[in-house]
Amino acid sequence: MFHGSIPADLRAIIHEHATTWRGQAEDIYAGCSGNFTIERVLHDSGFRLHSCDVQLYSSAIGWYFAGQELPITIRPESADELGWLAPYMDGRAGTLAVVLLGSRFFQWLGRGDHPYYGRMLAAYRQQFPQLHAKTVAKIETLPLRLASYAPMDVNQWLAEQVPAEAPVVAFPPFYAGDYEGQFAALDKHLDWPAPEYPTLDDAAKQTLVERITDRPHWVLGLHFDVEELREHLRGQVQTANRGLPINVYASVPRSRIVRPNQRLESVRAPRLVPGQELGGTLSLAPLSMGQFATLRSQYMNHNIRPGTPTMALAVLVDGVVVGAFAFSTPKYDPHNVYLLSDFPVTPTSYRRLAKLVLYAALSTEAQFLAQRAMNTRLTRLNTTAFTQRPVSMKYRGLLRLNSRKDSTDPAYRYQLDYGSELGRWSLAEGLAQWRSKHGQKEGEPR
Amino acid sequence: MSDPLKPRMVEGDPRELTLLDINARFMRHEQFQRLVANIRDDGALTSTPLVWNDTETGRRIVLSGNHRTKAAIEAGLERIWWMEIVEPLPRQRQIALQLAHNAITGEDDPATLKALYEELEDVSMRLYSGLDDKTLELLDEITVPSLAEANLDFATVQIVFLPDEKETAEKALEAARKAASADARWLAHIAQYEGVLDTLDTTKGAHNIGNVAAAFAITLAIVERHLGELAEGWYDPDEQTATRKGTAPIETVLATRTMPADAAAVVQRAIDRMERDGDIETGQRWRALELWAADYLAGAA
Repeated sequence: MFHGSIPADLRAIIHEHATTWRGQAEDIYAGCSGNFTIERVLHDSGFRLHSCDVQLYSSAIGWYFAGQELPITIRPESADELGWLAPYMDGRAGTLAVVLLGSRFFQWLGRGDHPYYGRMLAAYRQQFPQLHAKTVAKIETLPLRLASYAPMDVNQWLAEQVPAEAPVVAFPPFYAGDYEGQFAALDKHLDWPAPEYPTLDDAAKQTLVERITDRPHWVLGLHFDVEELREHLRGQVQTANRGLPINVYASVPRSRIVRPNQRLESVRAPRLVPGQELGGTLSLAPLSMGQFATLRSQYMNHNIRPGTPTMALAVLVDGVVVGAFAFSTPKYDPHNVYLLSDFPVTPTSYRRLAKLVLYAALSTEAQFLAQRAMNTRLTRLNTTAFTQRPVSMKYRGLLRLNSRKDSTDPAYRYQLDYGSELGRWSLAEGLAQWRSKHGQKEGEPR
Repeated sequence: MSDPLKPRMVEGDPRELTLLDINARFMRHEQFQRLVANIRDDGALTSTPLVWNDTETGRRIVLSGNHRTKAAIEAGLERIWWMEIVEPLPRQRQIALQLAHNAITGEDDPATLKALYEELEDVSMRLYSGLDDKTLELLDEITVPSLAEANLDFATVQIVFLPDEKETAEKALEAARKAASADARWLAHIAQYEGVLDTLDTTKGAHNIGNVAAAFAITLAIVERHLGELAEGWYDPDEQTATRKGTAPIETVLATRTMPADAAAVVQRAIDRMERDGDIETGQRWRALELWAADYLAGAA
């Protein structure tokens, strides 16, 4: 279970760059191998591949595909809990399969009294013979082969083992200590000749950049800009609006970019327009993500970066769309659903249509649909407003201001956190309340 | 159709223009941000909005190029050029102009588009174009062999909460079958939904778990510990009689599905002998319980 794999679009760019080196080199060196995405991308490219990493997870894979024995055993202090794994560890594919499977379930060891972790551990123990056999079979059919694997610091490897003219491809981990935490459970229970290595902090990354870019052929993936490499910027990949853009610097004069591109689907229901009277029945309709993206593109502030909700609903009155809102799964409090966005259609004759969307979001019907989608009891709602004012006129009176902070977004002065009970009224009651308190049209007295 | 127009080029502050209230054209967030960035880089608009100068109201209404105008304001341009019509324009013609500008836009030949785009060597120029390599299908199609370990074997159960009517129930079940794959589907009345949600929620809260299946397992374990209470389904404790015909689960009589193995062996031997001796019919081992109980009650009486 490896996190931080190289996105598919980047893989295509690496493949394209590396294939231009045919005839000019026979070996490619991949630093910070992780789960060997670069090597798997290049497995049939005709180059001899050399790899390097410092983690147990990666080293197990590296040794295996380099044709070496895996010097990995169960730690004596874990023998009581994991002694049953010993027969599966044959020093080759069997050991690698234990490491791969262990990356999933070792994290729950010692937590067997917990109902969920206990069940998962029991299931792994019970199904292990089949899981192990399947994983071994998969490993043994993988076409990847390495010419060498070095369990060592990438900068030391580049200085000591990689020839100066050899092509190097590296996508170092984005944050220092990225993988140590991820694989801590493996190190806790398995013994192996772990290398000493310095943290890949900013200074070490600078060294890495220098040691890679002074050779004839190279590709380097970084999540930050390097001014001195500007002329070598050959790609940028960002697949989601809230995702991190990754820069590809390379010796190859071939540019490729991938930009976020929200998928849209049309919403055929009519929208409320100026001069049109609101009808008498408020209702909700589930929206596909594409339909929600369409309404959001039309009616929401263009400066708000779109996120991905768990569920989105259109708010309709007598079948006419008056707005939409979207919920995200609770992150911290399991009963507190997050209102990711809410907006009315514009323009209309109603000044406070945004509040009608909120009445709909706070209804028992919205609560029912959210609970159904998220399989849990939801009793509260919270949301965040980024504004220039100390209060949000949209939320004031309907939601409670929980906190006011300076905005983290430089475009706004305040970050306001609001909350409310969920399921406060039915849609019919909500519409009636909105009519009596906020239903005035433009030009009507308040 | 109507009199010829004589538009002229005008320069002014984009903030003084009136944007359309109702516009069928819209832009995705990422497109609009790209447009703003391009205009900021250029320091000027490189295509002109079409504006109608409504001399009666004094408003200059943007008939086409609304996003461009908005983006120019966002990019901080103080002055832009636009094409301005000063002749009176009936509403019908305003709408026709607006729609025509949106609809009559020409099309791209994919091959030529790709070829032109491929000429852009600088990443920033590719970004400027508003296109990308993925959309144009210019990225290599590669196969990456999977290195994923085998996953646990799960069984999926779907519970569908249904209203009363049989026909509606059947339709809902069919819809559920089509909508999601599951190894099993259980039907329950819609009124039970709230109860199930609360039960799961309480169980999750008590054990600090988020997993629905784990919570369900705990709930089932609690039912298991209270099997005897299910006798309410067939037994009247006041009258001490069965309230209905048919069969009743033995575990609701014994309040357990299991017993210690030593004790079970004694019972097993006894029933085997009763069967062999013809005291009870073969295949009716439960009769042994009835006979013992009747003897006990007779003795007690």
